[in-house]
Amino acid sequence: MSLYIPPDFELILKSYGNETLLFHSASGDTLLLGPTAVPLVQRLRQGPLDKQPLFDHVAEELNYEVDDEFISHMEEVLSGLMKRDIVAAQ
Amino acid sequence: MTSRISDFDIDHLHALLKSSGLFLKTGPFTYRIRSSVRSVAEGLFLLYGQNRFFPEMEFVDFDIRLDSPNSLRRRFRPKLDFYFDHQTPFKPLPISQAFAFLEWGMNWCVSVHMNQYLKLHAAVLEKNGRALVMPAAPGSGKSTLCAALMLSGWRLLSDEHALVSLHDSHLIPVCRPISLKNKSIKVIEQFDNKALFGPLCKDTHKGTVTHMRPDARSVELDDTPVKPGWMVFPKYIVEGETRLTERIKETAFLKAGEQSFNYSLLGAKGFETMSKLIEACDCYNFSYSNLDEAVETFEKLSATAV
Repeated sequence: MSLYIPPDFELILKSYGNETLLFHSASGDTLLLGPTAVPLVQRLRQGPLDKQPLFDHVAEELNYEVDDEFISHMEEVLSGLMKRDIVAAQ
Repeated sequence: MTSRISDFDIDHLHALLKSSGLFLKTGPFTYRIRSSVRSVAEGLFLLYGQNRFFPEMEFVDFDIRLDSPNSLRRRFRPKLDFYFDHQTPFKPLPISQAFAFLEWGMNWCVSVHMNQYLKLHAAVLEKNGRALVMPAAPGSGKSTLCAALMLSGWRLLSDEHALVSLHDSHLIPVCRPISLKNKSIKVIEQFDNKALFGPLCKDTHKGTVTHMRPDARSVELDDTPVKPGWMVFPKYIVEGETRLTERIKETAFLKAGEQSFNYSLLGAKGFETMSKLIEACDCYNFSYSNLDEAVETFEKLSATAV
């Protein structure tokens, strides 16, 4: 399953050095992203990627171990982003 | 020489309001106000007397009228309608609430129109060339604090609307009277006995309401924008300590967005403008109960302006 950011709408990321805000033009909403969602979104902005390498990328960026707890957390993060149409699968 | 509204007497103003109307310019907006109600003339004379008088205007943003809907209504339990461009967006209110109704209607005009600005429900004041923006929900003590700061030498830009320029994120003044209600009225009377109040409207849906006149300097500078300096989220806490604590900008951004009338409507432009505004501000939470201590805290804060 390849994940990607739908190109029809604008995503803007903004940080003042503490946390990261995401503006999603499709909904007009602004969200505060958690620490694992930030590298996930940033990576997908560079291009589509399958789920496992995407999770591996996030773990590497944050120096986390890829264990069941991490995978379960990332599934939740991904599901949240997909529900909000920020990330889609093909 | 520039004419002021107070150059006329109340009878003349009342006659004008009953006929062609009064052109009132506040910040970038022009209202044409018409009403046959005497207390509207009295309130405008007292609270907007320092504003310029315009015998005519090429453009009017808001054409408003406050009057009884028909002659029968004028005699029995008299109520008033607020007309905006010949529409009546609100239910009628008793004539005893006339001036408050006018002020609420004028606020509504700005809140639901004029999307060339990012608009926040916030008080805005200026000191040392920087704007203090205080977004807050009703009941947070925003207006009481705003009144105390203005009476202590801060310039008032608005008690109700932070208008943020989409070009440079500067704050655009729209200087009008400060709305006070219930206990806050007494608190401000005791804070400074020189505070000047308009008609007292009792038994409104907000309780007892009145409006305080802005100082002459704030009215005079009503067309001079200000660079953002501080964003403070005030909270009145009964017998609470005076406490100013830093807040991270990311959550300040979201909190300010919650208090915006049109942030989502503006889309990416709204995000960009809010980003610049927050970037330029030091952000704080502020809780208080003692107004003297509150003013002192903000005096110290204003000294950090660069």
